Amino acid sequence: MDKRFWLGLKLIPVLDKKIKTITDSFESAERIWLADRNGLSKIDGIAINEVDEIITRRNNIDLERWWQRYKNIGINILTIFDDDYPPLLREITNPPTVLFFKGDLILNYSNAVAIVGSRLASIHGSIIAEELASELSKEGVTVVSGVARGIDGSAHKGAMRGQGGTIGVLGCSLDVIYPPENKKLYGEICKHGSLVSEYPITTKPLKWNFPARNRIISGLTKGVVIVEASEKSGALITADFALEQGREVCAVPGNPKNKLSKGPHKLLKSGAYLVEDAGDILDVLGLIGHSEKKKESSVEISLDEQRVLNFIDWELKHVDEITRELNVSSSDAAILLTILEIKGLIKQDIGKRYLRIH
Amino acid sequence: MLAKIESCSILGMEAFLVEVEVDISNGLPAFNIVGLPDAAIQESRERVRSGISNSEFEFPLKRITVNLAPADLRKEGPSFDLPVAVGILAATKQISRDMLSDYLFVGELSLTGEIRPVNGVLPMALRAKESKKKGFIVPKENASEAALIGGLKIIPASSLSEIVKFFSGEKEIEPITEDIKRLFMNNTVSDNINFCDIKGQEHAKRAIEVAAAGGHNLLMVGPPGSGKTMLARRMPSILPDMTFEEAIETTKIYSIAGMLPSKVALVTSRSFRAPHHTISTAGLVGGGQHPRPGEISLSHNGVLFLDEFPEFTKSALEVLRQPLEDGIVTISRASSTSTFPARFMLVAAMNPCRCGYLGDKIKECVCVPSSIRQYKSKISGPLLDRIDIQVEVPRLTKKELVGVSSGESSETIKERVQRARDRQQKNIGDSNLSCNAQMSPRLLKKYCKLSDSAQNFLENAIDKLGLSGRAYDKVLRISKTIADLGERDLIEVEHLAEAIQYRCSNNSNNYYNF
Repeated sequence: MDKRFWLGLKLIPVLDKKIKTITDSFESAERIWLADRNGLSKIDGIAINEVDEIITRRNNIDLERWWQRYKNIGINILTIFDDDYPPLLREITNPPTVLFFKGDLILNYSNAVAIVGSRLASIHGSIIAEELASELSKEGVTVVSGVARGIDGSAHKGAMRGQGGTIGVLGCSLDVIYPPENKKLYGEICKHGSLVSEYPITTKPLKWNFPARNRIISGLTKGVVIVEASEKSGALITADFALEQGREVCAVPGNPKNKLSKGPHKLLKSGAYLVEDAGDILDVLGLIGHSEKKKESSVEISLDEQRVLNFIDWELKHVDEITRELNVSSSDAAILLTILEIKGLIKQDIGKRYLRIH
Repeated sequence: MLAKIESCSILGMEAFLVEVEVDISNGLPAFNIVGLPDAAIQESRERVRSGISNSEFEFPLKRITVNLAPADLRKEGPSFDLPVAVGILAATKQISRDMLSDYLFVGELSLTGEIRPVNGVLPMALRAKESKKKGFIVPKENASEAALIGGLKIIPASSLSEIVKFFSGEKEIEPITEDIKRLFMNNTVSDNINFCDIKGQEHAKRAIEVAAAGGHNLLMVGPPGSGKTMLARRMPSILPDMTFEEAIETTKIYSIAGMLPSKVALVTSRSFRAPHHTISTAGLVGGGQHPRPGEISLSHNGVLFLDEFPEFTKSALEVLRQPLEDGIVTISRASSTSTFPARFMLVAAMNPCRCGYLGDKIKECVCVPSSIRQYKSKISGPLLDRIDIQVEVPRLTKKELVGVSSGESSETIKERVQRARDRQQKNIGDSNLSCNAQMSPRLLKKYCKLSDSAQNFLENAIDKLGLSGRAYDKVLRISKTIADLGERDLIEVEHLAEAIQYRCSNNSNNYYNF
């Protein structure tokens, strides 16, 4: 019953803004919601001139209807006073008093790691993020990220493959899908973990919501891993929050010429941990991987395929380069590339270029 | 006094017979034309009057009524000048009337009495032959076009007085005949447009060869300056030769559109049309009060090249869907409905994003993801469904531009394409199809036989590469063509593997989903 009143507080902007102050004075949400004019003016943090506004707004809100609306979308409410509130998040300086979530929140929060990075990720970065996330998740680590394009999306996708699952933290409310192409990803995340937001429904992805969201991403985790970020990337804000909150910061290095390496390299210069694989992250965070080292890939490949694979290597190579340098016909090159792609050894990038991934 | 002359007019793709009745009676001098004539026919009164007097004949100062029957069909164009003039001469007994009914007349008159060329003579000649006429009097410039229809006496006329002399027996005019074999003979690949001009781009060239062999529609995606237009222009040079029937069809369209070059009797090389992206819907599919063929019909049996594909208006692109499927386009207007053939090969070219450099090796793309999505969304899914082959064309680096030797010539490629098409004729000809691209999903099942290992491979590929249902059909169709190029009946793993390459990368991280 109490949760409804929390929702009520979130629905009145004046109260939402001060929700931390007014609830810190041990007032229950119910008492604030039901308070009369006199009672409201006595609450710490509420100015006299705001009382009238609060009362008019409150009278216009049909709490039961709103509550049903949230239930219909499948949104649950978690407050800082609840026992299952993520313990790590509780420790930060300004934890969200009320969290909305969708999906299954009972995940292993003590073992959460954030993987964040550029929205305009390269195929390299996307593959690395996906691989790290998948291996961490298989070790039972929950991967937290921001459900954005690029690295974030890859991290979620990778994490869904293991039992660790994934948490997506939104910069808008849970009923708003942003970016729009992530509709499917929203659903998948709810199935393999949960989507979290501190905003009441119909909140648009306003740009100042995102730094605030980043404090939750780092706050939920033991450490943050940055994969590909330009110098001004929001991922660096997440890293700053992580430092403030006393969480570990890890970064994946890249090609020094690439501007997407600037962010991670900046962090590395100032002392972030260098990460090459999931094992590095587990070491830094003091987590122990229990499964044995990954076996070498056991796919059988022919001599010709091996030649192409060796040539492509870890650099993007165009199909015509392969044709020319290996001196094969264009149709033969196409055949070999398809076979390697199906075997999961290479991946195609835009512009008909290929990259080795195993 | 009454005279009847027979002539022809065009409606859509077909010609219909028009009886031109001329009646001269006593009364105030007047000259009226009835029978739903358009403005050009109304004006023909002035041309006929001057044409007759300037050819040293007498223009009767009487009441002249001309009727164009059937009176309920709208008639257009200046091609009735000649029959009207001949009718007046016949009604005033200035021309011998003995043999007039054996002939059809068309032609535009100049004020001096000379005869000018008109549009649509080829379908008119066909109609003349069907209606068992002995001969056809046509303007001299149109004679060779009309002569494609054998079994009809084609009399080239250059002036009104010449025709009068012809009918009175004073002058013999030799009927024109055309040697169709000879017309096909001088059809060779021109030297200035040849595939050997293109350096590098092996992948794209192979894709074009496959597209040509199976008649598949093709989309080229690449940054500016990568040679997409250059590649597309060379497409007709590797397409198989036209058959006589195809040539006649194409010539008919060009004849109706009035676009047959002078002195060219038959269009024997495949057309290549490249309309600018500002083209209107009617310009593309055809239209007008009297429907006329549009660019898609002009590229019938040839190539329609749409450069800067997403820049075409949405409506212009969407109207392509039905003709791409059916090979014909039906244009309905208040006055009439016409059907034009439009079996063309669509070759489209576009940049990967608005700035043009997404995925380029050298220059970095400056587009934001949402603008890339928006740019791509201009090409709708149903339209992409109808484009079998998608190929990415990269920009060449300096090293490649200097170092790479030129590839095969168009003639060599054309030979292979021709062989593949011949095989297709043998295989799927009984379903009334001319190339693999026309296979419907039902026929795909009938004709695309996979070997056992290929079947396994395909299932694996669908699984691993996430091929959609529409991609599946495309892969089958293309692999059948590749098998034809390799002169094999059964589709093998290698054919499938190659076919799978002719799709754009499906990397969701880069929002490049085709």
